Amino acid sequence: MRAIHISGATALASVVLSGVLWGSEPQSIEDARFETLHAMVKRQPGESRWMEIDWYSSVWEARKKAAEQGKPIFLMAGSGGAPVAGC
Amino acid sequence: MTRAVTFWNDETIALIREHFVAASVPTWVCRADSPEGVFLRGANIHKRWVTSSGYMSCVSASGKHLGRRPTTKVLEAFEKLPGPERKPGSIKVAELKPGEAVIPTPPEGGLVLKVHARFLARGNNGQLRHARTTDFPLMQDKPKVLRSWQLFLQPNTEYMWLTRDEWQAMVPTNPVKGSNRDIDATIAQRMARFHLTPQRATTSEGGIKSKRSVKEARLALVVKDVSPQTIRLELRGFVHWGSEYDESKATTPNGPLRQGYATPLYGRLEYDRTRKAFTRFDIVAPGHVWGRWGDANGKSMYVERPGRSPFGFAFELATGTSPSDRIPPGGNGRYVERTGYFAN
Repeated sequence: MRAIHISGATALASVVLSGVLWGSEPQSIEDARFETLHAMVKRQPGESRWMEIDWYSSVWEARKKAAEQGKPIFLMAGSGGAPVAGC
Repeated sequence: MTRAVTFWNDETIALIREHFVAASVPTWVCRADSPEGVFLRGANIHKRWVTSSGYMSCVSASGKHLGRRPTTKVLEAFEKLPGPERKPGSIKVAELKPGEAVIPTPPEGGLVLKVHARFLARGNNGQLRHARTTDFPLMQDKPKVLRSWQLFLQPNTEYMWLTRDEWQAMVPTNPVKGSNRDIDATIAQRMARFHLTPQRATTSEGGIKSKRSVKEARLALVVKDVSPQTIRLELRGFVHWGSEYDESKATTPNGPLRQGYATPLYGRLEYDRTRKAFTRFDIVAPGHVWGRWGDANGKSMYVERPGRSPFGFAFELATGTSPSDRIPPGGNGRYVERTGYFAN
Protein backbone atom coordinates (compact mmCIF):
# COMPACT_ATOMS: atom_id res chain seq x y z
CA MET A 1 0.00 0.00 0.00
CA ARG A 2 1.31 3.45 -0.87
CA ALA A 3 2.65 5.36 2.13
CA ILE A 4 0.60 8.42 2.91
CA HIS A 5 2.25 11.72 3.83
CA ILE A 6 0.88 15.10 4.79
CA SER A 7 2.41 18.30 3.58
CA GLY A 8 4.48 20.45 5.90
CA ALA A 9 2.30 23.45 5.07
CA THR A 10 -0.82 21.62 6.17
CA ALA A 11 0.85 20.59 9.40
CA LEU A 12 2.00 24.15 10.14
CA ALA A 13 -1.41 25.64 9.31
CA SER A 14 -3.14 23.24 11.64
CA VAL A 15 -0.82 24.15 14.50
CA VAL A 16 -1.10 27.91 13.93
CA LEU A 17 -4.87 27.80 13.65
CA SER A 18 -5.40 25.50 16.61
CA GLY A 19 -4.74 28.07 19.31
CA VAL A 20 -3.10 25.28 21.29
CA LEU A 21 0.48 26.07 22.03
CA TRP A 22 3.33 23.64 21.53
CA GLY A 23 6.25 23.26 23.81
CA SER A 24 6.45 21.91 27.28
CA GLU A 25 5.95 25.03 29.38
CA PRO A 26 2.51 24.65 31.00
CA GLN A 27 0.18 27.28 29.62
CA SER A 28 -3.13 28.80 30.48
CA ILE A 29 -6.22 29.16 28.30
CA GLU A 30 -9.23 31.38 28.81
CA ASP A 31 -12.33 29.95 30.45
CA ALA A 32 -14.52 29.98 27.33
CA ARG A 33 -11.94 28.03 25.31
CA PHE A 34 -11.49 25.60 28.19
CA GLU A 35 -15.22 24.93 28.48
CA THR A 36 -15.52 24.39 24.72
CA LEU A 37 -12.64 21.93 24.59
CA HIS A 38 -13.77 20.03 27.69
CA ALA A 39 -17.33 19.70 26.42
CA MET A 40 -16.08 18.64 22.98
CA VAL A 41 -14.15 15.66 24.30
CA LYS A 42 -16.68 14.49 26.89
CA ARG A 43 -19.44 12.10 25.99
CA GLN A 44 -22.31 13.85 24.19
CA PRO A 45 -25.97 12.80 24.58
CA GLY A 46 -26.61 9.73 22.46
CA GLU A 47 -22.96 8.66 22.37
CA SER A 48 -21.39 5.58 23.95
CA ARG A 49 -24.83 4.52 25.06
CA TRP A 50 -23.56 1.50 26.99
CA MET A 51 -22.59 4.06 29.64
CA GLU A 52 -26.29 4.72 30.28
CA ILE A 53 -26.32 1.41 32.14
CA ASP A 54 -25.25 1.17 35.80
CA TRP A 55 -22.42 -1.37 35.65
CA TYR A 56 -21.19 -3.28 38.67
CA SER A 57 -17.45 -3.97 38.57
CA SER A 58 -17.88 -6.98 40.84
CA VAL A 59 -19.76 -10.15 39.91
CA TRP A 60 -20.47 -10.67 43.62
CA GLU A 61 -21.98 -7.24 44.12
CA ALA A 62 -24.12 -7.78 41.03
CA ARG A 63 -25.16 -11.17 42.35
CA LYS A 64 -26.18 -9.69 45.70
CA LYS A 65 -28.22 -6.97 44.04
CA ALA A 66 -29.82 -9.45 41.62
CA ALA A 67 -30.80 -11.73 44.51
CA GLU A 68 -32.32 -8.78 46.43
CA GLN A 69 -34.28 -7.55 43.46
CA GLY A 70 -35.25 -10.87 41.89
CA LYS A 71 -33.55 -10.09 38.57
CA PRO A 72 -31.13 -11.94 36.29
CA ILE A 73 -27.52 -10.79 35.95
CA PHE A 74 -26.23 -9.49 32.61
CA LEU A 75 -22.48 -9.92 32.34
CA MET A 76 -20.33 -8.14 29.78
CA ALA A 77 -16.74 -9.38 29.81
CA GLY A 78 -13.55 -8.57 27.94
CA SER A 79 -10.17 -10.22 27.95
CA GLY A 80 -8.32 -7.00 28.76
CA GLY A 81 -10.77 -5.63 31.25
CA ALA A 82 -14.31 -4.44 31.70
CA PRO A 83 -15.48 -3.65 28.16
CA VAL A 84 -17.36 -0.60 29.32
CA ALA A 85 -13.95 0.93 30.04
CA GLY A 86 -12.42 -0.34 26.82
CA CYS A 87 -13.30 -3.10 24.38
CA MET B 1 -18.82 -6.43 18.91
CA THR B 2 -20.10 -5.85 22.39
CA ARG B 3 -20.13 -2.11 21.82
CA ALA B 4 -21.84 -2.22 18.42
CA VAL B 5 -23.71 1.01 17.85
CA THR B 6 -26.85 -0.78 16.68
CA PHE B 7 -27.04 -2.98 19.81
CA TRP B 8 -27.23 -0.09 22.28
CA ASN B 9 -30.60 1.29 21.26
CA ASP B 10 -33.47 2.67 23.35
CA GLU B 11 -35.18 -0.72 23.60
CA THR B 12 -32.13 -2.64 24.76
CA ILE B 13 -31.06 -0.03 27.26
CA ALA B 14 -34.55 0.21 28.75
CA LEU B 15 -34.77 -3.60 28.98
CA ILE B 16 -31.44 -3.86 30.80
CA ARG B 17 -32.13 -0.97 33.17
CA GLU B 18 -35.52 -2.32 34.18
CA HIS B 19 -35.05 -6.07 34.19
CA PHE B 20 -31.36 -6.89 34.72
CA VAL B 21 -28.48 -6.16 37.07
CA ALA B 22 -25.48 -5.45 34.85
CA ALA B 23 -21.82 -6.19 35.55
CA SER B 24 -18.77 -5.53 33.40
CA VAL B 25 -15.66 -7.54 34.27
CA PRO B 26 -12.46 -8.99 32.82
CA THR B 27 -12.90 -12.53 31.52
CA TRP B 28 -10.21 -13.91 33.85
CA VAL B 29 -12.64 -13.53 36.77
CA CYS B 30 -14.30 -16.77 35.65
CA ARG B 31 -11.02 -18.62 36.31
CA ALA B 32 -10.16 -16.89 39.58
CA ASP B 33 -9.64 -18.88 42.74
CA SER B 34 -12.41 -17.01 44.54
CA PRO B 35 -16.14 -17.24 45.32
CA GLU B 36 -16.80 -15.17 42.17
CA GLY B 37 -14.86 -17.63 40.05
CA VAL B 38 -16.64 -20.57 41.65
CA PHE B 39 -20.00 -18.93 41.00
CA LEU B 40 -19.23 -18.32 37.34
CA ARG B 41 -17.76 -21.79 36.81
CA GLY B 42 -20.89 -23.24 38.37
CA ALA B 43 -22.80 -21.64 35.50
CA ASN B 44 -20.19 -22.98 33.02
CA ILE B 45 -19.18 -19.45 32.09
CA HIS B 46 -15.52 -20.55 31.92
CA LYS B 47 -16.44 -22.77 28.96
CA ARG B 48 -17.88 -19.77 27.14
CA TRP B 49 -15.29 -17.05 27.89
CA VAL B 50 -12.45 -18.87 26.18
CA THR B 51 -10.75 -16.51 23.73
CA SER B 52 -9.57 -12.93 23.75
CA SER B 53 -12.93 -11.72 22.51
CA GLY B 54 -15.62 -9.86 24.40
CA TYR B 55 -18.57 -11.81 25.75
CA MET B 56 -22.10 -11.33 26.94
CA SER B 57 -23.71 -13.84 29.29
CA CYS B 58 -26.86 -13.81 31.40
CA VAL B 59 -27.05 -15.86 34.60
CA SER B 60 -29.37 -16.07 37.58
CA ALA B 61 -28.21 -15.24 41.10
CA SER B 62 -28.71 -18.96 41.76
CA GLY B 63 -26.00 -19.72 39.16
CA LYS B 64 -28.05 -20.87 36.15
CA HIS B 65 -26.93 -19.83 32.68
CA LEU B 66 -29.91 -18.19 30.95
CA GLY B 67 -28.58 -17.06 27.60
CA ARG B 68 -26.14 -14.76 25.90
CA ARG B 69 -27.54 -11.30 25.19
CA PRO B 70 -30.08 -9.57 27.50
CA THR B 71 -33.35 -10.26 25.68
CA THR B 72 -36.97 -11.08 26.44
CA LYS B 73 -36.12 -14.73 25.75
CA VAL B 74 -33.62 -14.63 28.62
CA LEU B 75 -36.27 -13.07 30.83
CA GLU B 76 -38.66 -15.89 29.89
CA ALA B 77 -36.00 -18.45 30.81
CA PHE B 78 -35.52 -16.65 34.13
CA GLU B 79 -39.25 -16.71 34.84
CA LYS B 80 -39.28 -20.48 34.30
CA LEU B 81 -36.86 -21.01 37.19
CA PRO B 82 -38.40 -22.25 40.45
CA GLY B 83 -39.52 -19.46 42.76
CA PRO B 84 -36.74 -19.95 45.35
CA GLU B 85 -34.16 -19.32 42.58
CA ARG B 86 -35.57 -16.03 41.36
CA LYS B 87 -37.96 -14.33 43.78
CA PRO B 88 -36.59 -11.16 45.47
CA GLY B 89 -34.82 -12.01 48.70
CA SER B 90 -35.12 -15.77 48.35
CA ILE B 91 -31.41 -16.26 47.71
CA LYS B 92 -29.08 -15.05 50.44
CA VAL B 93 -25.67 -14.02 49.13
CA ALA B 94 -23.08 -13.86 51.90
CA GLU B 95 -20.59 -11.02 52.09
CA LEU B 96 -17.14 -11.81 50.76
CA LYS B 97 -14.44 -12.28 53.37
CA PRO B 98 -11.46 -9.89 53.39
CA GLY B 99 -9.16 -10.81 50.52
CA GLU B 100 -11.78 -12.72 48.54
CA ALA B 101 -12.77 -9.89 46.20
CA VAL B 102 -10.85 -10.12 42.92
CA ILE B 103 -11.63 -6.64 41.64
CA PRO B 104 -10.29 -3.81 43.81
CA THR B 105 -12.44 -0.89 44.88
CA PRO B 106 -11.45 2.77 44.93
CA PRO B 107 -9.15 3.74 47.82
CA GLU B 108 -10.92 4.68 51.04
CA GLY B 109 -11.60 8.41 51.01
CA GLY B 110 -10.04 8.64 47.59
CA LEU B 111 -11.17 10.55 44.55
CA VAL B 112 -12.39 9.03 41.29
CA LEU B 113 -12.19 10.81 37.96
CA LYS B 114 -13.94 9.77 34.78
CA VAL B 115 -11.54 9.84 31.85
CA HIS B 116 -13.07 10.25 28.40
CA ALA B 117 -10.89 9.49 25.37
CA ARG B 118 -11.86 10.68 21.91
CA PHE B 119 -10.50 10.83 18.38
CA LEU B 120 -10.48 14.39 17.10
CA ALA B 121 -9.73 15.97 13.74
CA ARG B 122 -9.36 19.41 12.19
CA GLY B 123 -11.97 21.01 10.02
CA ASN B 124 -11.14 22.91 6.86
CA ASN B 125 -10.72 26.05 8.97
CA GLY B 126 -8.22 24.28 11.22
CA GLN B 127 -10.57 24.13 14.18
CA LEU B 128 -10.81 20.99 16.26
CA ARG B 129 -13.87 18.80 15.79
CA HIS B 130 -14.96 15.22 16.41
CA ALA B 131 -13.31 12.74 14.05
CA ARG B 132 -15.32 11.01 11.36
CA THR B 133 -14.54 7.78 9.55
CA THR B 134 -13.68 9.87 6.48
CA ASP B 135 -10.69 11.28 8.41
CA PHE B 136 -8.95 7.90 8.42
CA PRO B 137 -7.22 7.09 5.09
CA LEU B 138 -6.75 3.42 5.91
CA MET B 139 -10.53 2.95 6.21
CA GLN B 140 -11.43 4.44 2.88
CA ASP B 141 -12.92 2.22 0.16
CA LYS B 142 -13.72 -0.36 2.83
CA PRO B 143 -17.45 -0.03 3.59
CA LYS B 144 -17.48 -2.79 6.23
CA VAL B 145 -14.55 -1.24 8.05
CA LEU B 146 -16.15 2.21 7.90
CA ARG B 147 -19.30 0.79 9.49
CA SER B 148 -17.68 -1.34 12.19
CA TRP B 149 -15.10 1.21 13.28
CA GLN B 150 -17.66 3.98 13.64
CA LEU B 151 -18.31 2.92 17.22
CA PHE B 152 -14.68 3.58 18.18
CA LEU B 153 -15.11 7.21 17.22
CA GLN B 154 -17.48 7.63 20.12
CA PRO B 155 -15.64 8.42 23.33
CA ASN B 156 -14.45 5.68 25.63
CA THR B 157 -14.78 6.30 29.36
CA GLU B 158 -12.58 4.77 32.02
CA TYR B 159 -11.56 5.86 35.52
CA MET B 160 -8.57 7.32 37.33
CA TRP B 161 -8.05 6.87 41.06
CA LEU B 162 -6.36 9.22 43.51
CA THR B 163 -5.78 8.34 47.15
CA ARG B 164 -7.04 10.56 49.94
CA ASP B 165 -3.50 11.76 50.70
CA GLU B 166 -2.90 12.60 47.04
CA TRP B 167 -5.93 14.78 46.50
CA GLN B 168 -5.69 16.41 49.91
CA ALA B 169 -2.12 17.40 49.11
CA MET B 170 -3.47 19.42 46.18
CA VAL B 171 -5.39 21.72 48.51
CA PRO B 172 -3.25 24.70 49.53
CA THR B 173 -3.29 25.06 53.31
CA ASN B 174 -2.89 28.85 53.16
CA PRO B 175 -4.22 29.71 49.71
CA VAL B 176 -2.95 32.95 48.20
CA LYS B 177 -4.37 34.17 44.93
CA GLY B 178 -1.79 33.79 42.17
CA SER B 179 0.40 31.31 44.01
CA ASN B 180 1.68 28.41 41.95
CA ARG B 181 2.87 24.99 43.03
CA ASP B 182 3.66 21.69 41.33
CA ILE B 183 1.46 18.65 41.82
CA ASP B 184 3.20 15.50 43.03
CA ALA B 185 5.05 14.01 40.06
CA THR B 186 3.56 10.60 40.88
CA ILE B 187 0.15 11.82 39.75
CA ALA B 188 1.46 13.31 36.52
CA GLN B 189 3.27 10.04 35.78
CA ARG B 190 0.13 8.02 36.52
CA MET B 191 -1.87 10.18 34.19
CA ALA B 192 0.74 9.86 31.43
CA ARG B 193 1.34 6.12 31.74
CA PHE B 194 -2.13 4.78 32.48
CA HIS B 195 -4.66 7.28 31.19
CA LEU B 196 -3.34 9.63 28.50
CA THR B 197 -3.02 6.66 26.18
CA PRO B 198 -5.02 6.82 22.94
CA GLN B 199 -5.16 3.02 22.79
CA ARG B 200 -7.88 3.33 25.45
CA ALA B 201 -10.22 4.35 22.67
CA THR B 202 -9.97 0.95 21.04
CA THR B 203 -9.07 -1.55 23.75
CA SER B 204 -8.55 -1.94 27.44
CA GLU B 205 -5.76 -4.45 26.81
CA GLY B 206 -2.26 -3.21 27.41
CA GLY B 207 -1.62 0.39 26.53
CA ILE B 208 0.22 1.13 29.77
CA LYS B 209 3.32 3.14 29.02
CA SER B 210 6.66 2.30 30.60
CA LYS B 211 8.29 4.82 32.92
CA ARG B 212 11.14 5.07 30.47
CA SER B 213 8.84 6.12 27.63
CA VAL B 214 7.53 9.16 29.50
CA LYS B 215 9.59 12.11 28.26
CA GLU B 216 7.78 14.69 30.31
CA ALA B 217 4.91 14.73 32.79
CA ARG B 218 4.27 17.93 34.73
CA LEU B 219 1.23 19.30 36.48
CA ALA B 220 0.91 22.50 38.46
CA LEU B 221 -1.89 24.34 40.25
CA VAL B 222 -2.41 28.08 40.35
CA VAL B 223 -4.74 29.63 42.93
CA LYS B 224 -7.25 31.71 40.98
CA ASP B 225 -9.66 32.78 43.67
CA VAL B 226 -10.13 32.35 47.39
CA SER B 227 -13.25 32.89 49.48
CA PRO B 228 -14.28 31.57 52.90
CA GLN B 229 -16.31 28.94 51.07
CA THR B 230 -14.29 28.02 47.99
CA ILE B 231 -10.80 27.79 46.59
CA ARG B 232 -10.69 27.90 42.79
CA LEU B 233 -7.63 26.43 41.16
CA GLU B 234 -6.34 26.36 37.61
CA LEU B 235 -4.39 23.29 36.52
CA ARG B 236 -1.67 23.57 33.92
CA GLY B 237 0.48 20.77 32.66
CA PHE B 238 2.22 18.98 29.87
CA VAL B 239 2.75 15.32 29.04
CA HIS B 240 4.81 13.68 26.33
CA TRP B 241 5.48 9.99 26.01
CA GLY B 242 6.94 7.89 23.23
CA SER B 243 8.85 9.02 20.17
CA GLU B 244 9.83 12.52 19.12
CA TYR B 245 7.69 13.63 16.21
CA ASP B 246 9.36 13.35 12.82
CA GLU B 247 7.07 14.28 9.94
CA SER B 248 9.17 12.45 7.35
CA LYS B 249 8.72 9.20 9.25
CA ALA B 250 5.11 9.62 10.40
CA THR B 251 3.74 7.81 7.36
CA THR B 252 0.96 5.27 7.19
CA PRO B 253 0.53 2.36 6.98
CA ASN B 254 3.37 0.63 8.83
CA GLY B 255 5.66 3.66 8.93
CA PRO B 256 8.97 3.55 10.81
CA LEU B 257 8.09 6.02 13.56
CA ARG B 258 7.11 4.56 16.92
CA GLN B 259 4.04 6.01 18.49
CA GLY B 260 4.21 9.19 20.49
CA TYR B 261 1.69 11.45 22.21
CA ALA B 262 2.04 14.95 23.54
CA THR B 263 -0.51 17.20 25.12
CA PRO B 264 -0.89 20.32 27.18
CA LEU B 265 -3.28 19.91 30.09
CA TYR B 266 -5.68 22.56 31.26
CA GLY B 267 -7.92 22.25 34.29
CA ARG B 268 -10.50 23.99 36.45
CA LEU B 269 -10.78 22.72 40.02
CA GLU B 270 -12.97 23.93 42.86
CA TYR B 271 -12.58 22.97 46.49
CA ASP B 272 -15.36 23.43 49.02
CA ARG B 273 -13.69 24.45 52.29
CA THR B 274 -16.73 23.60 54.40
CA ARG B 275 -17.34 20.15 52.96
CA LYS B 276 -13.57 19.63 52.63
CA ALA B 277 -14.06 18.13 49.20
CA PHE B 278 -13.45 18.93 45.58
CA THR B 279 -16.70 19.82 43.84
CA ARG B 280 -15.14 20.32 40.43
CA PHE B 281 -12.16 18.57 38.86
CA ASP B 282 -12.32 19.23 35.13
CA ILE B 283 -9.24 18.68 32.99
CA VAL B 284 -8.86 18.64 29.22
CA ALA B 285 -5.89 17.34 27.26
CA PRO B 286 -6.21 18.34 23.58
CA GLY B 287 -3.12 16.48 22.40
CA HIS B 288 -1.72 14.88 19.28
CA VAL B 289 -0.76 11.30 18.51
CA TRP B 290 1.66 10.20 15.82
CA GLY B 291 3.51 7.17 14.55
CA ARG B 292 2.65 3.50 14.40
CA TRP B 293 -0.68 2.59 15.96
CA GLY B 294 -0.14 -1.14 15.86
CA ASP B 295 -2.34 -4.13 16.58
CA ALA B 296 -1.17 -7.13 18.63
CA ASN B 297 1.24 -7.97 15.79
CA GLY B 298 2.45 -4.42 15.33
CA LYS B 299 0.63 -3.88 12.05
CA SER B 300 -1.07 -0.53 11.54
CA MET B 301 -4.65 -0.37 12.71
CA TYR B 302 -7.33 1.41 10.72
CA VAL B 303 -7.31 4.32 13.18
CA GLU B 304 -3.73 5.22 12.32
CA ARG B 305 -3.33 8.49 10.43
CA PRO B 306 -0.32 10.11 8.79
CA GLY B 307 1.47 12.99 10.45
CA ARG B 308 0.31 14.28 13.81
CA SER B 309 -3.39 13.76 14.59
CA PRO B 310 -5.52 15.33 17.30
CA PHE B 311 -6.62 13.06 20.11
CA GLY B 312 -8.23 14.41 23.27
CA PHE B 313 -8.92 13.40 26.83
CA ALA B 314 -11.32 14.98 29.30
CA PHE B 315 -11.37 14.31 33.04
CA GLU B 316 -14.24 15.04 35.41
CA LEU B 317 -15.32 14.03 38.90
CA ALA B 318 -17.23 10.77 39.21
CA THR B 319 -20.18 11.46 41.45
CA GLY B 320 -20.23 8.00 43.04
CA THR B 321 -23.96 7.67 42.49
CA SER B 322 -23.57 4.80 40.02
CA PRO B 323 -21.80 1.47 40.58
CA SER B 324 -20.03 2.26 37.27
CA ASP B 325 -17.98 4.79 39.25
CA ARG B 326 -16.22 1.89 41.00
CA ILE B 327 -14.89 0.36 37.78
CA PRO B 328 -11.10 0.21 38.23
CA PRO B 329 -8.67 2.10 36.02
CA GLY B 330 -8.58 0.69 32.50
CA GLY B 331 -11.46 -1.57 33.50
CA ASN B 332 -8.91 -3.98 34.89
CA GLY B 333 -8.16 -4.38 38.58
CA ARG B 334 -4.76 -5.83 37.72
CA TYR B 335 -3.64 -2.39 36.57
CA VAL B 336 -3.99 -1.30 40.16
CA GLU B 337 -2.57 -4.36 41.84
CA ARG B 338 0.20 -5.55 39.52
CA THR B 339 1.52 -2.67 37.46
CA GLY B 340 2.60 -0.08 39.99
CA TYR B 341 -0.41 2.18 39.57
CA PHE B 342 0.06 3.88 42.94
CA ALA B 343 3.83 3.52 43.05
CA ASN B 344 6.19 6.46 43.18
